[in-house]
Amino acid sequence: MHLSADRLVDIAEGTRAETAEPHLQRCEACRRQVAELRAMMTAAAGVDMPEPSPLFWEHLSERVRRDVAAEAAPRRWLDAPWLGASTAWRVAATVATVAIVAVLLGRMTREGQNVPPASTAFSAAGDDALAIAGQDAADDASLALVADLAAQMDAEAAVESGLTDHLGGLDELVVTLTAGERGELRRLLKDELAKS
Amino acid sequence: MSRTRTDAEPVASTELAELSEAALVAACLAGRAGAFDLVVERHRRPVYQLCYRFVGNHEDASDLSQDVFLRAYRGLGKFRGQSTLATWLYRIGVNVCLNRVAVKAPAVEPLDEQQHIDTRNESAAARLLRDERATRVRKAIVELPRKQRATLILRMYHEMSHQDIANVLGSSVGAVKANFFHALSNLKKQLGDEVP
Repeated sequence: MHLSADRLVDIAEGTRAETAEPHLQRCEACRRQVAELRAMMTAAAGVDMPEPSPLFWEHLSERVRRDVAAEAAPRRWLDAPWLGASTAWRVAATVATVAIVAVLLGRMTREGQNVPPASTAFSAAGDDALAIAGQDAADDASLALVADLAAQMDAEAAVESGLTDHLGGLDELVVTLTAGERGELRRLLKDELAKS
Repeated sequence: MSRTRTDAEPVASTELAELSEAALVAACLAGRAGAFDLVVERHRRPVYQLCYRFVGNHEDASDLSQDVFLRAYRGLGKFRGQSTLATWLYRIGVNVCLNRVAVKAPAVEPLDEQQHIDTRNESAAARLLRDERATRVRKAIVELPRKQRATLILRMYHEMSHQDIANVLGSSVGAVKANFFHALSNLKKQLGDEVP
């Protein structure tokens, strides 16, 4: 029986001694196989790698840089130093946004306002977050911030952070806001932003 | 309040260059300016060479290298440091190349389109002979079945151990040795007596 492929490779590469395989001494076919493997390894090793132009390397780096910049652009403001690492801030954003809504709901309840049913809330998916800010977001930085934060909210992060015990919990916390409620939210946000 | 560093700041560059591999990856994930540039700068040559060996021409190798780094950027958060960054990049590179060559027949560059090789101390005849032989071997490698090609390239040109290759290809050491054996045997069949 001839030597297996892996043993022939080991012998050709020199990691296994020829003397460790008595079969090799009496089998010309296996010896020829080992010789051919060595010849092909030598032939392959002797093939130079064409060297690109010296300018190519920087050109390649620049192409990658552009790709990475294009990839990162939509999220650039989220990577600002004051927001920290992405995972951490997503949890923080979730906490902050839900906390704001919770505070707002609490105030409204205490003041006897009529809180609408939790039907069309903003959610972790993000699209509904715009419902909070509505058109006001376009000309109000504070509401735009909430819209952006909510757009990046992670329902799983909220569960992990203990804000709620199931993924649907966020939806139950939020409400569609009336114009008056949006005004109150705007005022609270401005107060908070002014402190920071 | 911290400010954002830029590539133009030599202090930042020096600091980055002194970081360990794990710290450099962490700097990339934190969005630190210039960190991923440094990863590209350190690994662009071997990544390009891997791609070139796979496809046999500069244009495709250049595109593939760019793709490898973009995928690496996207997946950097998944890098656990269980292997070196180089091995991790090779894994991405092999996957990118295997996927590309599955849908596109490689076009090996003819001699006159190949990039510069330093041949100042070589006679014209010797250079021509060496170039022709190298082209034949490269073409034979490019025509190998994909896993055999990957194995041969990683073993011969990137000096990876059988175990590391097995990790990159998601196979066993035995399978890697078998692939290497068949790759060399197929090279012999294709090249015949052209290569001693």
